Amino acid sequence: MQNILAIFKKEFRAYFLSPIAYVYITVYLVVTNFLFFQGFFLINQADMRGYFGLLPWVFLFFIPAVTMRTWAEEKKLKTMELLLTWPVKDVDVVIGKFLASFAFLGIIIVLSVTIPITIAFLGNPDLGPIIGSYVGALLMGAAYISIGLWVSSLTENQIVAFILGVVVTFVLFIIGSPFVTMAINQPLLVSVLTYLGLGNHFESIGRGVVDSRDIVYYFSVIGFFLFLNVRSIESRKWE
Amino acid sequence: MKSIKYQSQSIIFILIVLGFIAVANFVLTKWFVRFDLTENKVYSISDASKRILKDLDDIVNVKCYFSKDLPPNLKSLETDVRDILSEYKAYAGKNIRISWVDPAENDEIKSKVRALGIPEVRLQTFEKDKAQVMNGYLGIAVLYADKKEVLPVVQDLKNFEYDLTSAIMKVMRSSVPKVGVLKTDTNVFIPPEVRMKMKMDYTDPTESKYKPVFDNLKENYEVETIDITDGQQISSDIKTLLVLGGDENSFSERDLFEIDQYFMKGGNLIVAADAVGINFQRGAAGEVQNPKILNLLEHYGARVENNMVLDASCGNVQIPQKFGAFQMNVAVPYPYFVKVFGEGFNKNNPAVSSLGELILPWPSSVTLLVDKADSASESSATDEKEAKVLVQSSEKSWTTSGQFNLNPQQQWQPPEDDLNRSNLMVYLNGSFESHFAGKSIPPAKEPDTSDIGAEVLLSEKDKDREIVPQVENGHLIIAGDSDFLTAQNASPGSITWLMNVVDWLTLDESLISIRSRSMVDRTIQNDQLGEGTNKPNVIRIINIVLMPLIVIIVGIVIFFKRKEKKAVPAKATSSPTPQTGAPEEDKTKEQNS
Repeated sequence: MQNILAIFKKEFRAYFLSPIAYVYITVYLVVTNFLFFQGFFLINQADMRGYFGLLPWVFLFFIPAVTMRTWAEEKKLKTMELLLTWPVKDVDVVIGKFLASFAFLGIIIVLSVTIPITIAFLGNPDLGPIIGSYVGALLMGAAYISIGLWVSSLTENQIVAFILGVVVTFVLFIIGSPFVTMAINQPLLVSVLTYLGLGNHFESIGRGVVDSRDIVYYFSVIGFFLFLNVRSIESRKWE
Repeated sequence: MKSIKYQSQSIIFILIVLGFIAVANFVLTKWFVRFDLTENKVYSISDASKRILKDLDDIVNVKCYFSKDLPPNLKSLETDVRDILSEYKAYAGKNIRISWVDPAENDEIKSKVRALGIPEVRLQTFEKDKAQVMNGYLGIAVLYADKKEVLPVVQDLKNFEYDLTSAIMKVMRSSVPKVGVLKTDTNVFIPPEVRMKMKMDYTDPTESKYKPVFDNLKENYEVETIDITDGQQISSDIKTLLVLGGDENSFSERDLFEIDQYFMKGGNLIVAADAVGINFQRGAAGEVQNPKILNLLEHYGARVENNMVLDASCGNVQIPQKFGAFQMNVAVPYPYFVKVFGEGFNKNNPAVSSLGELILPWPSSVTLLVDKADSASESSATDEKEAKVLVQSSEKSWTTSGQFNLNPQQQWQPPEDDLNRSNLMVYLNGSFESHFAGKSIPPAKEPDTSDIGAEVLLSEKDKDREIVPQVENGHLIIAGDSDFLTAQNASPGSITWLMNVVDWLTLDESLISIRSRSMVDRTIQNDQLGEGTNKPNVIRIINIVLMPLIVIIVGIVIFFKRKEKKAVPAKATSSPTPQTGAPEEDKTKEQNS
């Protein structure tokens, strides 16, 4: 626990010490808020559906960009061996790094708070779906992060990590979307793919219904990719 | 070598973990809990539905005929319907079978769907600010054995649960419930024997007066005309009793007693009473007639006033008018025909919330003598009575009493400062005391005044009869008008009202507790924005710029603070925590920047 906390602190501080982080956050906020307010006054509904509808797509590029350097850079700068010689379990390092990225994401998500405030000022929003969507965004973001971290551990090139991260999350996202499932005529396969898709569970929570199945799904994805991450770190020892 | 061995071991290990996760996920899809965070619990089904679904003992088929390529706004309705159905599935288990069919797939299905009574509807959609129209299906059929119930067009979720659960109950019930209509036209009543003797065509006056009521109820219920003129008891087999109309001579004390006792034994009662009758013999004139049933209703907790409600929202009457040489009928608004729509219907009550329009000719207002229940609170404490207003006139309505000038060609003078909503129909629920508790049973026949000295004796049956003093959970609906159900005046709106309230009371006790989901207006309030201002743009820009600006400022502050620190010997601040590549990275980045 202590080790996880130490690694978390170090990694988390590292995010905010580099100017890149501020550029990320600024770009993220400007892009999402701009896109959201494009349609907001036209649709004339006091909800955040439009905002959270964007998130799966924005995360697709944004989160691999956050996670790409996590392992790849350690490898490139050869600090990996150093890190792994410390009396810290691999699992702890992986979890620490994951939590740091997650906290970074959490801060970014919290910074969108101007939108719910604006909406509450303009109308009478139902808070249930908004809270649900925030919870869903955190869970979905965490799943994206665990995928991004694992991909980053496979390579020492940040650009490769970024592109691979986008590809893997995109595939996991698209397999459950109607775009794919409409083309398949196999009911069982469709229901499996719908379940596997990263976006469907987010939509379900986003409507304001917290279902234990959606939470189980996200924790499974997070857990599995963190496990893969630990395995791929361990495998370095055997080379 | 080692590496290959490790890799194959590793892959097996990963597969085992993956398999474990898959099994765990599969098992947990069967065991789940849901929390509905929405304000109106849009995605939850009520305990009543849950219980009904758990008690299913055979397989019900729910066939959803939805078009595949629905416009986006209806696509979300489809997902909501799917969600609620999965909630149904979760509680009914294998006893509910849900299937989705797009009728457009082939013509055979199309004609089958048409035969079921599901129409192809025109759907309007807004895409890229343009209204587009397409045809599609949004219907659901509930099938069991050879019975079917249909929800022809699912438009929103307001009444979806109530409609679906009652459809399931209707196909599953083993017998058709009985509904009674009380014979109220006693003053023109000719005994059947006399009719037989005189070879009169036997049409019951009540039945002919309220023909649409009988015709429509017969589609779903076994309808009985209840005759209590000889002091017969009303059977408890009758689930719901309708008492329609009647004048000052219609109800004897004994009639009231039988109605009261039927209600005390748990029967549902719907009374449409005319405090003011309309007499057509001398043109149209309104007369206060005070049918005795009003005493009973007042005892139960609601008074039908001796007045008439007029409303600016009203129906029309045709009046012949001369245009030069021609005479034409012209439609003139007639405030005595109160037209109820929208806000006038209680939005929490599934029996009336979905009604579109209801025209009530010459209604009287109903005053509640018990506390009105908060319409948003959960029903129902059985030890207390609670009242709900089902139907109200509009804000621009007023009442008149005393002399009623029913002439449609008059200058209407609404009292500007006395415009108010009036209750037109109410629902009372809870524990009621008998009007006859502690009293003696009224004799079946009124004492015959011509036969002097005739003793009023209770018949043998009545001597042993005990008065039921109280009902724990009675349901009573009172309307201050019965004209809207007569053969001359009945409209599709009044028939829908009738079918809805009878269904609502008759189907099952527990269905009454299902409430309509109120749809809250979630649009952006325009008065906040003002016409023609550029406030939307200001809001937009503040939202886009504010937070990023704060972030940039924080970033700059941190950057300069670190620069200051750098000036101090760096070693002093290094901590004993595990060091990884990050510090070096910072340096390289800072050097670059």
